[in-house]
Amino acid sequence: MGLKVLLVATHNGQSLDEQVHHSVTAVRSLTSVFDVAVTGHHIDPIIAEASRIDGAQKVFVVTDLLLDKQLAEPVTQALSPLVALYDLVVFSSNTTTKNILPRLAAVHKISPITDVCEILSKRSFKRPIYAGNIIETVSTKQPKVLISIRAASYQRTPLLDQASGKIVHKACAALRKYAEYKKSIILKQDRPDLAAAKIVISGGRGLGSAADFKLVYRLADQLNAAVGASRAAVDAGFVSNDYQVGQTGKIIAPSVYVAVGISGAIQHMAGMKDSRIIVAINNDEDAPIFTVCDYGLVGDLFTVVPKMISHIKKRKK
Amino acid sequence: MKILVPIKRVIDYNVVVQIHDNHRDVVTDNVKMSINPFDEIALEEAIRLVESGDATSVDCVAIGCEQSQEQIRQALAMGADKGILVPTDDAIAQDPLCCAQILQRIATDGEYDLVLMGKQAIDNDCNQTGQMLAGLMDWPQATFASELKPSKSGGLEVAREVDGGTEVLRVKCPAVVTVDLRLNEPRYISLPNIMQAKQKPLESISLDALGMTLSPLVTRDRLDYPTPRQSGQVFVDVDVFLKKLDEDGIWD
Ligand SMILES: Cc1cc2nc3c(=O)[nH]c(=O)nc-3n(C[C@H](O)[C@H](O)[C@H](O)COP(=O)(O)OP(=O)(O)OC[C@H]3O[C@@H](n4cnc5c(N)ncnc54)[C@H](O)[C@@H]3O)c2cc1C
Repeated sequence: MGLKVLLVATHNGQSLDEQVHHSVTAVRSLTSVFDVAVTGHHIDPIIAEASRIDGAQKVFVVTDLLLDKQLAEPVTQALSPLVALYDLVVFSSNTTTKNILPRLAAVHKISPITDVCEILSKRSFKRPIYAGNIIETVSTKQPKVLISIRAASYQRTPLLDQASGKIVHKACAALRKYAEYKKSIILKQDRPDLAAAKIVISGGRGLGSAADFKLVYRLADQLNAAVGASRAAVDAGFVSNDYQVGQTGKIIAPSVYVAVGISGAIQHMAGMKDSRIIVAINNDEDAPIFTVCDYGLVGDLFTVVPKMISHIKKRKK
Repeated sequence: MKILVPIKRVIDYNVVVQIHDNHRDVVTDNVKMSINPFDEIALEEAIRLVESGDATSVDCVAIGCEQSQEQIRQALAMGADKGILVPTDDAIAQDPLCCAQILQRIATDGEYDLVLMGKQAIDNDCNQTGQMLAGLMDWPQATFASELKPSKSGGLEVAREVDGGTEVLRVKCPAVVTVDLRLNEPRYISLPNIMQAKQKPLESISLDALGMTLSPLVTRDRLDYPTPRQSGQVFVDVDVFLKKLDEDGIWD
């Protein structure tokens, strides 16, 4: 018998979470075939996507009204019977799974390994600690292993054109209600998703105000880029929390990351150090960001960024 | 409402952490140690709930080395009523499942209504213990809280920071709530507070006394630094900089 792997595919109600496509690559480094689990309510488009995951054999689907918002308690109940059947259960690290996975693990008295950046074997993994300043190699003898994969460490595996996974609806025992969902304040972004974008332009405290943060949007618009921010920019109210990149925000690895008016605190760098190319604009030549960037410019962002915008506009013509 | 706040002793967030020659530990000699910043925020919130009359008391518990008493004293100085130390070796203190099992005992024995804790510790960055505790207790959980208010109908209304924005939940106590950085700004501790804290109770409860034998199911084999990024070129002339970016085709 080969290794039995279950990939838990989370979603935002519309489509699979971007991170799932990266975990597929991680799973495929261990086995070419595996099963997938999705939970939710009225999720036909997501089931269709899940069945196109490259390597998916069976796609287990558990639906229930209580699973609608992917809250930890009902999802734990729904996944519990499935977990029992596998050697390795894989999640993709994001705020949805960070909420669910440890609860699910504890209920099964499993000690999980989260934010894995490299799979060494089915029992040995690397993960970043201390805001990514140190890489820890861990191993476990547990018969059943639960892990989450850090998307920034793995390439994306595209969905197949045709469904390959066989959809299996699983009934679940009556779910018990714990927390009550009230509402979501989801800020509609009409620009690329931070987790998926090729280019990300991030702004920091150096932008000075929410009004001046617009400069970051204008540059991003020219490059079809996503917008990110440092915690200082979020705390100052320039942008909302879902823009935050770093140890306690999003961890991303775009092709190009442009840091504008960001000093480069270790907690920020934890979220973008794996980017292919880092560009930094800062008026302080001693800013730590210059020690990790590929291209840096020492200068006032209020003159540099408008110049960049007009330069890129011209270039496009 | 009785609140329990777990606090962890960690290397201060400003310290550049170094790996020990044995490649298994990090250097802690002469290194500044602090309360994990997220735990400090949880504690601040708990104290505010007492001050507003929504809670009756706040106890704090630390799991780990004897020196964690320093962090407990600090928590008492901030306003916690009682401190509990569960002395363990570092391997247990760093293992979320072991810690969650210990907290389960402390929370059960002490009949707490709310465990308010940091969402992650800045040393191992696990972000697991709160959710595990909620699972073991079979309690509701509200993680990554950026706003918390007692709701009129009982329980707590919690705004959570999630990838897409903010989600609002209502949980009935007993519950576990883990907190994010934006929830509040912890108060400064004054000298009189520190003096006063010396009179407050600090109890030590061994694993033996709890009748628990624990061993971590995940072992740390080795620590390494990540491969450092090569630092690139830094320009002072915008035009030269923009030309170089074009030449290297970075936007393509
Ligand atoms: C537990 C913990 C977790 C944290 N998690 C995160 C996290 O996830 N993400 C995160 O980002 N931070 C995080 N932080 C905060 C982090 O330590 C820094 O405080 C933060 O990243 C600083 O943001 P900043 O670079 O925008 O601001 P600053 O450090 O103030 O830097 C602003 C920069 O702008 C430059 N500047 C100013 N004016 C101009 C101008 N006109 N032109 C050009 N440059 C200019 C300055 O030279 C400076 O370098 C965390 C902190 C803690 C304690």
